[in-house]
Amino acid sequence: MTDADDEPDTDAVDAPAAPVVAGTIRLSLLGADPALPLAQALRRGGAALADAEPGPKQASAELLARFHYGLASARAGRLGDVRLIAQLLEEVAARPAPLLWPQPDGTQIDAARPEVDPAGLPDVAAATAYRAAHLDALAKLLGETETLILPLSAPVLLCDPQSGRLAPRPAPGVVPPGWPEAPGTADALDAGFARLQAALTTLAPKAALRLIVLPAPAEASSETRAAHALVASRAAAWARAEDRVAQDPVLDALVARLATLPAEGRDFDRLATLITRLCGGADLLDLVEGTAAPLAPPPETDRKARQKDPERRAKRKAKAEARDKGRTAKVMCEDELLEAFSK
Amino acid sequence: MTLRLCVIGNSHIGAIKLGWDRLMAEAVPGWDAIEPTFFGAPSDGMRHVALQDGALVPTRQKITSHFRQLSGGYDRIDLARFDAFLLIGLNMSSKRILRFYKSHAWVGLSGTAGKTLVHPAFAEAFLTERYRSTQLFEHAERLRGATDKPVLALAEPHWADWARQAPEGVSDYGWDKAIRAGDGPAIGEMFLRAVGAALAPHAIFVPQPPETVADGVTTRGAYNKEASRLISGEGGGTDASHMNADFGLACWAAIHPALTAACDIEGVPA
Repeated sequence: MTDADDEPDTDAVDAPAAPVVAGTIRLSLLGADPALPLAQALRRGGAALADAEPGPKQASAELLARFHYGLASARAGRLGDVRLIAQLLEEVAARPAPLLWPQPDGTQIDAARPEVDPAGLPDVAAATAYRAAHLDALAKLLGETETLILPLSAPVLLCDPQSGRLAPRPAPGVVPPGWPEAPGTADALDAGFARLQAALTTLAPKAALRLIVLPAPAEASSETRAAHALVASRAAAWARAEDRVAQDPVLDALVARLATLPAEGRDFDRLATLITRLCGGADLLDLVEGTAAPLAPPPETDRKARQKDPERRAKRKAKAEARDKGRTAKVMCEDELLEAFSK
Repeated sequence: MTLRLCVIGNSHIGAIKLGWDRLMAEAVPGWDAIEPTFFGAPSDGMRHVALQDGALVPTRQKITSHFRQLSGGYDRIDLARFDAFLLIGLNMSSKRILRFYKSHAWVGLSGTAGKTLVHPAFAEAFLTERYRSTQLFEHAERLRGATDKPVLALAEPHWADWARQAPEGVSDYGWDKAIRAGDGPAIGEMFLRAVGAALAPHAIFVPQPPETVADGVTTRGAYNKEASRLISGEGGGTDASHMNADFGLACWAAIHPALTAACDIEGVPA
């Protein structure tokens, strides 16, 4: 058989990267702040971080990050506001028509996550199909989630005056409608927590929740700082009232410190390990005193059992045959080349 | 004035050479203003070539031997000897996008069942990135860094359309599924966009002549090398990847406008 391409002929070449199973702390993360490498820290810290929408494994890290692949357990955007998270989960269950922003070029932008895919889709049908695939992935993720990490902050939200639905502020280049902002009052946040609780009861009834309140940026105005303080206050109140919800200002501070450390450094890894253990439910004092139970090792990879697996055996055989064909291909390519130049 | 054209590629320059022979045999007016010299090596052999003192020099004896045989005696490519460069094949293939299509689909395609749905902008960016890891791109980049002469590039031809119903022993890259889903033309268009974007900084991309393309992602059987082999009674009917002199001829017709736009050629008919 002739096949001059030097790539292996395998379906797995561009298959989505499988979720990393690195340890026994199984976490899901909703909300991706590009300035805060929380997902990266959780993976480096030993968590098996769920990934409901993995990118192709051969894509570069830069490209994946640009399109929000791997920044959280789903490509849902920055989120950060409990009202936005609650609205998203309600949409997972109810599947309303997506909130779209028509652009001057005729394309449609998904208002719920305009920073994830800043280029629009050609029409409403395409945008609706794409949104549905995203919500399907989220539904599956939530159904399998054991511990859900929700970073919270005080992003500026826009409100559709007609439906009351919220949207994050769009990325540069996206033209938003002239919607008013939706300030995060205490009542509005409390209502958001109640809606989130109701949605999770349906979608992830057994999942534990860990809230992480992110600090206001260093250059933030006093108004923004006040908004963050309010979020922290309401999140703490909700955590006190609900058994399965946890929020700890120490963890918040440790996560905030992540943004100040170079991701390649040893300190990042040490901090990542601590954060991951805390997210997994370990007690802070046990960790500080060194009395915390050691992490169970990752599930044993039974190599022999995998080798005997008929499906894997068939794949290995196909690969070996492809390699043999590759050798034949080189001969064929050489024949083709030399034949053309023999005249 | 004669334009000295350096043609570099893998086995797919065979069809280009056969097409050139046809042009000369039929004495098509004006083409004598172009003087091609061919260099190449089968499969991925061109990766064993290094840039040394303004020349592309094989680092393996076997490749030197191919250079001599194809070029009529030259064992290196002195870049200063040529007025333009034409890169052919070198692993830039639509097979790569078809592999992606087995596990992913972008919004707008029909064959999405069981696949990860991605935004078309991501698909294009990803495929552009992937096509930058081909030898065609690497040679274009290397030439652009070493010379300011025009560089043109053709990808490997799509496999022949009969590969859709391939007999046992023929690789299945999913042509039939893609075409039956109605996605062939869209995949073909995405291939052209991604390859064009990948090459854009370094080379002028010359797409496969449209008249040779069937369903966006295959080559019409009449242009397949096996077509002439079967007629002459040779071959086993299993080579869907290499094309014949008719294909080469069509490629020269497509190369012509790009070449005339990039170079000052007199006497070559449009």
